[in-house]
Amino acid sequence: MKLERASLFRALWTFLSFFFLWISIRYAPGDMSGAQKTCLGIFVLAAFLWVTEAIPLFVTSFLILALQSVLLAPHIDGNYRVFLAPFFSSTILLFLGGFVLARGLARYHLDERMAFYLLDKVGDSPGRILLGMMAVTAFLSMWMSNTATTALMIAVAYPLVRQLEPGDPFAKAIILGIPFSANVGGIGTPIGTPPNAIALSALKEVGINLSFLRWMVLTVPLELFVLLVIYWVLMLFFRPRTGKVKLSLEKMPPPERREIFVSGVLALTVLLWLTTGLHGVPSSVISVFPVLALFGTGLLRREDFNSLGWDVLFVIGGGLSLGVGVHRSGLDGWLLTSLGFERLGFYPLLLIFAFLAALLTNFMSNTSTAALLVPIVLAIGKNPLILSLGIALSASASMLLPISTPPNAIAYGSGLIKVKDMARAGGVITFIFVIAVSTIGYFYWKLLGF
Amino acid sequence: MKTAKFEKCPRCGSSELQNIFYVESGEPPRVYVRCAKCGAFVARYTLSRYTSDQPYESLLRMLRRCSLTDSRRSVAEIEAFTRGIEEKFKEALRMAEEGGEKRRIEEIIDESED
Ligand SMILES: [Zn+2]
Repeated sequence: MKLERASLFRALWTFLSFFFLWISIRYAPGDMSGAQKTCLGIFVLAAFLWVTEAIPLFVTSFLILALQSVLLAPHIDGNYRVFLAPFFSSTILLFLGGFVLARGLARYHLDERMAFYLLDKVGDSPGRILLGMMAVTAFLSMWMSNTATTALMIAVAYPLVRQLEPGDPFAKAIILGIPFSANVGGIGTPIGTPPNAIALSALKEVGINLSFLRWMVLTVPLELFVLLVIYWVLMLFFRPRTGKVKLSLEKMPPPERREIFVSGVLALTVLLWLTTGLHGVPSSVISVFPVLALFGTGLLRREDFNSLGWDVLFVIGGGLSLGVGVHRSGLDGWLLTSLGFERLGFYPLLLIFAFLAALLTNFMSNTSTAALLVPIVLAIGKNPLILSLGIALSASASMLLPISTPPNAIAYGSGLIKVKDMARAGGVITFIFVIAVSTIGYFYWKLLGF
Repeated sequence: MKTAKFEKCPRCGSSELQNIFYVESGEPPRVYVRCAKCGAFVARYTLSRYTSDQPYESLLRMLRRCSLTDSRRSVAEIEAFTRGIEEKFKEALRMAEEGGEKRRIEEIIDESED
């Protein structure tokens, strides 16, 4: 019965989104060109479908592709291929490499091994254990999906949480600390989380090619700062009652030859990514290396390939494709002018869009948030790096609700936290996160010459 | 269509069965079912997903190779996963005890596919 109502709503939302498409095209302001009107319609439809999740996000991507090819392409030079290209762009290939890396880590339990190795050293005070858990989560999430990292680390933390006295708030600190750290950890590498892909691609469009290493230099200091903020807020809100806890870590057998080989391949991949400046091979092309080395040797199988998270890649592709439409149609410029953003100074614009991103990302997917905002703000033509980084990073500030992002949903599924717990701590953290991005980030990036 | 029945030994008709959990690397896990009374082979199941009596922990294991995108759907699915299993178990048990299902298992599977 409940299920039927859900699908009824989904049908209604889908119908409404097409209605909005029609309204936008039909009744858009007269000063807009045909291309701008059409693109506005597709933009509104996509935004509505992304918020309601009436159809799966990757299906929306295909809808964007179809609508842009059929409705928008005739307005701009009839070439629909520009909307198709983002689906296998260099950014997508880079992410594919990241997925293979993550699959290698998970398949051979290297992620677990790393987690146990690092956590072995944290001692037994609750504060140090929380900080250790958060640091390991954030580190893994730089290379693996936020979802997988959260699932792994909650499983690692679960025995500890169960040995706490019932009602000890420290359980909530741990269960919230893990998804929050996974969300923030994603900002630390280009492949850490999909919004980064939107920023990277958008920057490439305006001629800025950020290397893997440069991205990390720009974002890791912020990541560390926000992690400390999360730690501080959680310890403040959920002060542990016990003075000592024991982390019971599984004993893992010594690594087999295959595991050592896979670790070698993955370490080499990361090394090659970090040294593109020395060898000159683009990071996206380096992504092919782990594919060849792991699938070619049979260390990863066809099943691993088939379940690589293709839907995520298509979600990114759809976002990028919409960005192309927004830019080609000139909708970006029109939105900036008619909403009055053009008259704002650079800094207020950054602040507004960073907060807008943080607000939206708690109600729609991080990728969609970045996909909607980054193309618009880039039309301002001033300092694209700071603007797109500012928005992409703020799009990872999904700390408010279980529906904000899948890691939060996983933590909520434990039944150990209430929505109120997440909203209280997450609200404070989101606020400081965005302020940090738009102040510390702003000055730090300026300092580095951007 | 919704149906459920107790599996029975094809030789002696007993419903006292033993599950043998079998794993071979590179193959999906299998469960061999043997009659506890007469020892006859009853059936073989190929597993696509396993959930223990601790569904949340089974879920965490499953999600370790995942990257989810749709968070609203995730919340619904995770809730359904952790809470739904016990409810479904009760429903299946009740239906099996009523004993209305007379078809063979392969017939049920066959007919449920369309
Ligand atoms: Zn028998």
